[in-house]
Amino acid sequence: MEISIDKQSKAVVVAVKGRMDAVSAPEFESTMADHIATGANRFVVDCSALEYISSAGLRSLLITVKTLKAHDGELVFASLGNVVREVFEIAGFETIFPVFDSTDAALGQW
Amino acid sequence: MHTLKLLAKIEHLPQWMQFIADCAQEHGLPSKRIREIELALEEVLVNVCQYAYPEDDGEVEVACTVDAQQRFIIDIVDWGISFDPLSVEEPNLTEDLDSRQVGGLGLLLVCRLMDDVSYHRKDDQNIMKLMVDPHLKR
Repeated sequence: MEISIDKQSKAVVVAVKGRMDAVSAPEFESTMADHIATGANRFVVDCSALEYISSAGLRSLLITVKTLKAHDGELVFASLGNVVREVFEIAGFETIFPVFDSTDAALGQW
Repeated sequence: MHTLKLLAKIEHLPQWMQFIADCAQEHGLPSKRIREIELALEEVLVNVCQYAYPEDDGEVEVACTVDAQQRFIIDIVDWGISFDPLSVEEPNLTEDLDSRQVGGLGLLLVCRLMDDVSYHRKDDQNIMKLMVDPHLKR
């Protein structure tokens, strides 16, 4: 899994590429924790190149968002692919996390 | 039947993923279904790696076969402590963010993504069986 960070004026866009599974999810969690610790508190997670997410990935997302909420922050998702969208639906994530069709649409809300 | 038996450690996950993807591809399953199979397998294996062998290291074996009805069957066998993963309660998915628990999602994904899931204990083995029926419309 590769994580690329793009600090834009409205939010930090975090592009996740590859697979978020039990092996790679901790890296996502610690990367996000580092950025939150520096004061960033608005994130768009760009999932256009995320081909797979397991419950370990969902757990890391949940932990990250709970941390962010404690800092009065927000996190939204953009460009979910088929499999990731299906996993979000099964886990009921689409009712608690805002999901946008594109990063531009996500940034446009602020 | 193809089998892969390794020590139950998370770092072996990529090997099992590749193994099951190769088996599923050989059986002609479409790529989205293969991703779903990998997901279900990961969830079962992560449980085994975390809970089956609390004292020492142990092994887990993944086997895949095709039955007479062309159904793709995956058996996950471990020799760890007796545990039925299907006895765990499903998480409450209607709770809001503050109340949502972090655990429990793995088995939920397995049961929703696979066409049949079963567990039984035989001698000193825990056996989880996942089934994919390519004839079923999802």
